[in-house]
Amino acid sequence: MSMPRVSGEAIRSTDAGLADSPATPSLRDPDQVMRLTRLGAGFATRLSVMRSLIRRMSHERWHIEPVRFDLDDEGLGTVVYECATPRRRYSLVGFTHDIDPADRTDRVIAEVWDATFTLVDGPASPDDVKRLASQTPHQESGRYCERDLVLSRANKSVRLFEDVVSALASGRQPDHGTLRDVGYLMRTTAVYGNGKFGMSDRARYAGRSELSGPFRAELLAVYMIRIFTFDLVEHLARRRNAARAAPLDPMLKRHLGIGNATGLGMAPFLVTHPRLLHNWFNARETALARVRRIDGATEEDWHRFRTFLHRAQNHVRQWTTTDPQQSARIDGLNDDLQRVNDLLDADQGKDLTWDGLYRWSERNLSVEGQELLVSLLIELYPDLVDPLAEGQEIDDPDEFDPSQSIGSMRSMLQREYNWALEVDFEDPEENHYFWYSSEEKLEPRRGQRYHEPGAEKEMPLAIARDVQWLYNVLAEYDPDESLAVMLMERPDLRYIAGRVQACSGLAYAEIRDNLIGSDCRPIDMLRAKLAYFGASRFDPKSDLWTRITLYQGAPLPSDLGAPDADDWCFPAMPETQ
Amino acid sequence: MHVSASELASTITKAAQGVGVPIGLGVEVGRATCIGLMHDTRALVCVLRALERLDNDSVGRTAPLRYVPDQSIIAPSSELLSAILAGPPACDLLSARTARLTLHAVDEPALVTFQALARADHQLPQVVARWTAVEGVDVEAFCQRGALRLDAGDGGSFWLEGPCHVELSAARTDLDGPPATDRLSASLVGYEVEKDIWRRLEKLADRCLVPASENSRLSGAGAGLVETD
Repeated sequence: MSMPRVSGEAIRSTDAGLADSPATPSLRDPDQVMRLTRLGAGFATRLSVMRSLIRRMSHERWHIEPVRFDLDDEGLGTVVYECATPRRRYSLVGFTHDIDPADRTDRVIAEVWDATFTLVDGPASPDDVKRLASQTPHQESGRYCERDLVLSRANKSVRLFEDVVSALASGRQPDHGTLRDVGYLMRTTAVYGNGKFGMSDRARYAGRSELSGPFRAELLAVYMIRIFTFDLVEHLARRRNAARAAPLDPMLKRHLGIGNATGLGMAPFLVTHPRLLHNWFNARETALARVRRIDGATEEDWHRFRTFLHRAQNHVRQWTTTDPQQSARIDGLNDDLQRVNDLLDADQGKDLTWDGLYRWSERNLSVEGQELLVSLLIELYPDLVDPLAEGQEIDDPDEFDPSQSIGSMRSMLQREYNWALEVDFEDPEENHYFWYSSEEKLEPRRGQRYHEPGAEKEMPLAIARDVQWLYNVLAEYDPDESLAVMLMERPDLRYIAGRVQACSGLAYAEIRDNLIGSDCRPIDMLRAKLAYFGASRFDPKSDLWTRITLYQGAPLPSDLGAPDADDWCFPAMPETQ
Repeated sequence: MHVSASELASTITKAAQGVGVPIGLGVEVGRATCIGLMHDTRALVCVLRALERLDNDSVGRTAPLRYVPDQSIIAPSSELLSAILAGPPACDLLSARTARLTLHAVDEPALVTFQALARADHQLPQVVARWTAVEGVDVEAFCQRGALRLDAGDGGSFWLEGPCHVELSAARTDLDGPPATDRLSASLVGYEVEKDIWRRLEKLADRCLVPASENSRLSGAGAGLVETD
């Protein structure tokens, strides 16, 4: 596809900073983008981690295969999968366990799981496997070494797993309807990396091209676990009925992802890594702005858009949830997509531009509909947007400048944190919650400040409150004095002053809502991060956790290198059986 | 036992919070410890001593530190000065306003040096730390962009605990070597830590955890206790 003609500045010049106008749309305002209601309506895009990882895997022809598969008739035992990249190998060492169904839970406080895994740097020797056999099943209670990159565990889907094994053992394919509704055979309940429990620090491998970029090691492990789940059900089917057992249809395999139960544990990350958050959203908003600036889409472009739109409609129709609020949003989304269809039919592509379409969506679609449209637009021009998926990691550490004047810091707060200064913390509802780590396996939890103990140990996630606090204390000092003098007297404000400095000029660094207010729904934060990963089929179970599917529709290892390996956005089960 | 650099830094930060140190200072001591461990495992012993002194109130923290402008930092009521509490502000002041500063009666002079070393990059590329160790040996440490050179004293006297008056001065010579962040790569294979030391750190860090209750177990997080999916 040739590069589209773009109005305004050249593609590789600074994307931000252009005055927003229909002729040269700029990046969306962070006051719009970084509110929880919009963060909680996000969708995966082609810039998501999984999409960019699969592109690399396909382009470089990574090879994944089991090098050890020692499972008994019940599927219990040890497996090792090896992933060969052009430069290095990585090994997923897995152990399956026989657990009491009453012990099966998605919570961090679980003690046993159906399967446990460690992703190892390089080939896994017999000694590695022996060492990990004594640690991996214990997950957080184990100790690992610098060659261990990722730790994870997974539970079977009670709804689907046995049905699939039974069907395959009978020589037939499983029911498409159940497959479509569930979407995964197993579900990870935690994926740890970056130095936890003695594992490798991310910085140790971040310079490797295959793992550069946040969360690539973790999501590589999840991809390999996905492959394992297919092999597991086929193994069990063969062991039950070697003569008749059928392999799982590749088409069905592609539709199956890995489920994940995501709870509060993921939320603090968004707050504690503001510069990374900015990079993610800046990349996406830049991509959107570039597409919106395209001057005159071709007929082929519009045809592709209609194809993706139709695919998105199928995907949304197959998106099921028991949560009434999300269910209503999905109904609204169905209507929104039909409206887009109707608009295009009426316009017939003659007068509408991508920017015009986007502006129309802001007036006519729900927030979720608008964000889905953003994903569709970004999908259209790989050459224009894919490079934005690279280089998102933070290279340089924060450098605190204590010589900054008090007056300058106050101005900075007024300029960049007005959203925080407007919150009325005199209202008890704005101080309703506190976030904390529980003694029980360090599980992140949220408590009610006025009714539960522990607020004195709250995690520093109340950014709006602490910014206000800093702002008010700064007013007590001579504006020409340096922060150094103030912080000597007020060391309790050091972290928030450092954060404000580190985030200065980074438009998308902060979630612009009060995270301890009664209105805060952590699930909005979870969805923002999961959409960045590339997750789909958000199935909220409460305000505190959600199920999702990762890699649904993604190519299988045998598909890597095919021309359409990257074409798996908005996956849907084919409608004919 | 083996621990990663990030695990070490975060545990020390939490241990600092566990003894009542504000999080910003806790982050600084975590970072300084990682830098210190690049040089010697005794850095962890230093930090643990400093934390436990704060825990049992053997250092001054009942009132704000006394700052004599452009001269010195002194603990309240002339008590022992905590390196954890005084080191970062001292580095701030060296960076922002003064070329020389004395910390009076510091409990862990080596820790002050590592805090200066951790900051010895863009804002404060070079720092010289001088003190007379308790046994009477003069120590002079030149810190440049994460690299430490002992220009006086020896390893033994460097690591002795105080109290010592530590003079910090911002040096102004030609920069040599890569930035501090590059030097951290040596620490990326993690550290071997004595179990007893780790246990003592974790004991302090665990104070940041909130005791669980049946109510918090049921309502404080998501998913049910038994999965029926």
